[in-house]
Amino acid sequence: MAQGIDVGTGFIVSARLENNQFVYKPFRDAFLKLDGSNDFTKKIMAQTNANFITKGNDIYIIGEESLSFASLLNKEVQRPMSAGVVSATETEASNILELILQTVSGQPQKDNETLYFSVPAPSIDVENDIFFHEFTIANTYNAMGYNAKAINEGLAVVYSELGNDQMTGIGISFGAGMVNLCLSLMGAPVVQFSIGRSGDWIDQMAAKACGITANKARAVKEKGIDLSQSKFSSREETAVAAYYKNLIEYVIKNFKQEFSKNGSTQGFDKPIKIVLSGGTSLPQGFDTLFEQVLAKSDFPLNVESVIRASDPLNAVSKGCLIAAIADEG
Amino acid sequence: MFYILAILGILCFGTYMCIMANMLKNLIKAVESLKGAIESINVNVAPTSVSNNTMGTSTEYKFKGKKEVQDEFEQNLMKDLAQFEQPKEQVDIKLNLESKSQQVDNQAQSALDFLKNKKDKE
Repeated sequence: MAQGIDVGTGFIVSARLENNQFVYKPFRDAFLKLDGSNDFTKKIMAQTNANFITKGNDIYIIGEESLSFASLLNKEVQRPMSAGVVSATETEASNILELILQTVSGQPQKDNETLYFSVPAPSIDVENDIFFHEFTIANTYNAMGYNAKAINEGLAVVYSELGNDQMTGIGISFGAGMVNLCLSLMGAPVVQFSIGRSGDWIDQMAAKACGITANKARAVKEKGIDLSQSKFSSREETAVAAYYKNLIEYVIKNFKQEFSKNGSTQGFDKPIKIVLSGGTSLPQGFDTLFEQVLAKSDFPLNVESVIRASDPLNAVSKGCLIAAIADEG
Repeated sequence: MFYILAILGILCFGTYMCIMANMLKNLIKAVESLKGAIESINVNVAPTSVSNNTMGTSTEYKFKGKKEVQDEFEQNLMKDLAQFEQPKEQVDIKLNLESKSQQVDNQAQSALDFLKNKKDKE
């Protein structure tokens, strides 16, 4: 009995092993604060199926429905985490994250059940207090009776998808708030870092370029866009595709810089695989676009192929679960 | 008369200078001994508590070492976290997104075997 938790900016996903199957339970990591001083709003909320809590005169819609309400009210949802970590200053956000973690994980199935949760690698372009983040989450789970341990998000992707490759290769998680990358050699991280831009950044930049809200830009992305195309049907799609390309270039450029500082080709005798995972990697043609950018980048390692994770949304939680099961023995 | 006053003046000035020099000398000694005392204490933080000894005649200084500082930091952090205001009217939050299952695949089995072997070797 063990559990893996992907603590992401966009989703929090729990993974457990049941009857030789990985079972994933996702929860949208978002909330929307509404003024509930009006009784009418409270009555309306009570009649919906939305998850919400009230506190004084405030109503907090939590999870998936916060997006629908935000779109309806032309507002932006808030996230309990920023730059991949729990906010050290926003108490409300921290409480909501704790509530979501408790809901997603449930009570431990035995005393001291091993639980691995994902944490970002140190960021190279934004300030993220990983110590406080890790401490807060471990504290929440340990108080519930778990034996909680942290694992790097990129390494979790490697554990999930490169078992047949002796855990050697690159795992990249394109989340909502951050990109996490880990170059692993035999299961040990060689180069790992995170960058503070990913899906949300694409939404914001495309929104700015086209004069629309970030929610609408996200809708364009999720409606289905083929990134391998060279022409797009609308201005919004063109903007989204342009920022996708820019993001991939930024990731590869930063990998090259970090590899030149901390990496070595020693041990990488065979060409490696690069695994793409995370919600931002979902659009059709994302892997093709990645290959195209990679081919022009003078990459320092031989790459056999660029592959998508078997289940991009659940690869991190699956990797966390694999680490937890192996740890329990 | 003038000579008498001049001699008295010189004597007074000389005495004053002697007293001042002596005071300065004592002051330098005091500073040096204080400096020596501080350097002889092998700690990295300031004194945190002062108490009279059993005779009530002198003072004992207690200093904290690195471990105590770390422990106190963690205790304070725990207190701060405990003080976070909890939602007062908490309701049941439902998992209202669809769960998904995936058969344990070959990749995952290889990963588990690899990590278990690694752990056994360690």
